[in-house]
Amino acid sequence: MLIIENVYKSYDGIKKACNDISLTIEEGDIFGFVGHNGAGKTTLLKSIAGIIDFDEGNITVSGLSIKKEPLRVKKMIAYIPDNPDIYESLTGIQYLSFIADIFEVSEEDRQREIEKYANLFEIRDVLQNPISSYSHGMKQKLVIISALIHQPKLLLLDEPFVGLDPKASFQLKEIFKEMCDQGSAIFFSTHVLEVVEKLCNKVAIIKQGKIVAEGDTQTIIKDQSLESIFMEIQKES
Amino acid sequence: MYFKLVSLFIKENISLKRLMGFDVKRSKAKAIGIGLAIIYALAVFVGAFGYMFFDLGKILHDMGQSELLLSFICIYMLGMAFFITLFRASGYLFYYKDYDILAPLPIHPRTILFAKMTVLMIMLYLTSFLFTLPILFSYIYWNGMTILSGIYMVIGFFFLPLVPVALISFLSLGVATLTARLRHAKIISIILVFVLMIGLFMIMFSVNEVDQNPLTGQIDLFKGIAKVYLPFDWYRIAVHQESLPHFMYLVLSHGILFVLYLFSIQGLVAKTNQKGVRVAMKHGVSAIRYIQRSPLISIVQKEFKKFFNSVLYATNAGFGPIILLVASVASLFFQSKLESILSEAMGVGGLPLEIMILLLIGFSLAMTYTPAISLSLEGKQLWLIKSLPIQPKTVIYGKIVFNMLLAVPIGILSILLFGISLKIPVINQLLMILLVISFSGLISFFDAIINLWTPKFNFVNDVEVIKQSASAFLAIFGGFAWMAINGFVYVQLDKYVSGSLVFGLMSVLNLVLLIPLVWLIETKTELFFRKYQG
Repeated sequence: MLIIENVYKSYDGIKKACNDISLTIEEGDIFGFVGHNGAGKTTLLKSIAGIIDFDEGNITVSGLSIKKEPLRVKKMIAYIPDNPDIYESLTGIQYLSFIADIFEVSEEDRQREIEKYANLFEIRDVLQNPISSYSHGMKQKLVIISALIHQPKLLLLDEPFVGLDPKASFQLKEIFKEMCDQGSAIFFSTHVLEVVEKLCNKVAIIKQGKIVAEGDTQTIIKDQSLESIFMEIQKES
Repeated sequence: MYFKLVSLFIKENISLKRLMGFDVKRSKAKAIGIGLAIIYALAVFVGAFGYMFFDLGKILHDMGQSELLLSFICIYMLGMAFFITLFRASGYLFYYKDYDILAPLPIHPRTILFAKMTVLMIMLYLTSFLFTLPILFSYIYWNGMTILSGIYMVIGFFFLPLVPVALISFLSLGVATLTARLRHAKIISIILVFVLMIGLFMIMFSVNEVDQNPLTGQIDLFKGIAKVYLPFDWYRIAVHQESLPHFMYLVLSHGILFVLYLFSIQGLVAKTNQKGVRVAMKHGVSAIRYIQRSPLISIVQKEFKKFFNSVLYATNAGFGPIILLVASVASLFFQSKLESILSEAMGVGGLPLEIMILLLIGFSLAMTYTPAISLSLEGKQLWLIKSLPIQPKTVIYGKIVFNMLLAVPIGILSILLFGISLKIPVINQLLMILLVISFSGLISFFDAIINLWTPKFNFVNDVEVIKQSASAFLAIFGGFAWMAINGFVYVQLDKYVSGSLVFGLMSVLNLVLLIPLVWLIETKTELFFRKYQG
C-alpha cells in the first residue's frame, strides 16, 4: 500500500528532518509512528501527503509515486494535520461540501457519509454554524469527517487524538478498525504510547530523523511496555 | 518589560520579514526586485502627490495663505487615524489574538495595553508620515522653517491624532462586537464602510473647475473643518506663528485626554479580551442540501464566502467595483456635469469622455486585486490545498475567475449605464466591454503571478496581507503600470485609427500580453507550490 524508500529531507540543508527513512505499510495495517518532539514525524507525514517536497528517496502509494503522480495518489489518501486549521469563514457543511467537491464525491455518497459520521461524532446539529464558532475538538471532528467522506485507502493522521473527548477517541479507534477490515491502511503519529500498544499491529520509532525501531508491535515490545522501550531508545546516544 | 513587549510586537507586526513575507537575507534577488518595485511605487506616489501639493503650495503662497497646508496635514492625518484605528483597534486592543499567551504571564495588563497601543501608534505615525511628506515638503519649501516651528511641527504631529484615535477605537470596538453578534452583520458592516469611504471620497474630490489643481477644491472645506475642530487650528497657529500657548493647548489637551483614555479603558480591554469574540450561531437543526459541484466552481464559491466574510478584505479589494458602480449610477442623474466631475476626480481634462470612463474602469479593475492576496490568505490552511487532489493551477484559476466575476459584471454594467447617460454608440459600448474583459483578465493573471512569487503565509492578522504585503503593493501599482501601457498604445493608435476601432485593437493587445502570463500559470504554478512549506 505505502512504500517509503530511503527518504531524506532537510529544511536548512544541514540538519536532516528525515534521514534515510524506509517503511512499508500494508493493506489492513494500523501503523503507529512515535518519536519525541521535532524527531521528524510531521515532516514524514507531510511528505507522504504531498504537502512538502522531500530531497531524496521515493514514496509510493499503491505503486504510484507521490512525486510523479501527486493527484492520483492524493485521490487515494486523506491527511489530518496536528492542528485543525480550516476555513473559518465557512460553515461546517460548506467545508465538507467543498472537500467532497474536490474529491468528486456524488451527492448520494456524500450525504450518506456526512450524515453517518456527523451523527457518530455528535456534530450534526452544528454543521450549519460557522467553523469560527467551533471548539478545537469540534474542528478536529470536522477534519476527521472530511477525511473520511471519500473513503480513502490510506489515512494519514498527525496526533489525531489530541483535543478529542473520550467518546470521540473511542469512535475514531473503531473507525480505524473498520477501515482496516475493509482493506484500507492507517498511518498515524502519536505520543500516547498506550494507544499504539493496544491499537496498532505495527509501530516505528523515529529519533532525530532516523527510524531506530520498526516492526510488529508485539515483536518490538516483547514482554516490556512500549514506554520502557521508548525511554531506553531515547537514552541511547 | 514594556520595551521588550513593544520590540516583540513590532517584530510580530511590522518587521521587514513580516512585511515582505520572506527572509530578505535568504532571498536577495527577490528582495532587490521588490525593493525596486517599491521605489517605483513610492516615486509614482511622491511624484504625483508631491507635484500636486507643490503646486497647491504655490497657489496658497501667492494667496498669502500657505499655512493652510498645515490644515491639510491635520486632515490627512485624521483620515489615516480614522482608517487605521477603525480597522485595527479592535484586533490590537479589545480582541487581540495573543491574549491567551500573554494573559497567564506575570505582566501587568496595563503594560500589555500600553505596548499594544504603542505599536498601533507607530503604524499610524509611519503611514501618516508617508502620506503627509509631500505636504510637509511643500510647506517648508514655500515658507521656510525655524528650529522652533520645526520642533512644534514634529511634536504636534505626534499629539494630533491621539484624541481621534481614542474616539475611533470605540467605533472599531462597536463594529467588531456588532459583526460578531448578527448573522448578516458582516454584510451590513461592509455596506457601512463603503458608504463611509464613498462619502470621504466625494468630500476629497469636491467639485471644482476643470484645469485647476483638484486640491484647490478642498481649501474651503479644510479651512472650515479646522475652524470647527480647534486642535487643527492650534497646530496651524503653533507651527506657523511659533505660538507657545497654542502648542501647549494641543499638547496638554491631547496628552491629558489620551492618558485618561488609556487608564479608563483598562477594565474594558480586560473584559472584552476575556470574553473573546462570540460568533453568531444558527439555532435549531434544518435540512441540509447536498449539491455536487465541479472543483473549480467549488473553489470560486469558497473565495466568494471568504471575501464577503471579511469586512477588511471586501472593503479593500472590493472598493474599485463599488466606486465604479456608484459613479455609473450617479451618471444617470448628473449627465450635464459628467465631464467636469470625471475631469475633477481623475485630475485630467481635455480627454474624450469614453476614454475618461475607461480610465475610471481601469482604475477600478486595478484596485480589485484579490488574486494578489488570496493565495497568501490561505495561510494556515495551505496544508489543505496542498493535500487535496487538485492541480495547483486549478486553485489559481479559481482565484482568477473569482476576481473577474467580482469586477467584470460591474464593469459591463457601468459601461451600459454610462452608455445611456452619454448616448455612446452600441458598437463602441461593445468594444469597450471587450476591452474591460481583456484588461480584467490581464490584471487578474498578473496579480495571481505576483502572489505566487511573493506569498505571505505567516501572518497574525489578515490586514498584514490585504493592506501591508508586498504582493498587494505590487499588484496595485502594477495594475496602474498596465493602465499606462494601455494609455500609451491608445495615444499611438489614435493618430491612425478611428476611436472605436482603437478599443478593439487594445483588447487584442491585452489578449496578446495575456499569453505569456497564462503560460507562466500553466507551467510554473506547480513549481511555486512545491516550494511552499505547508
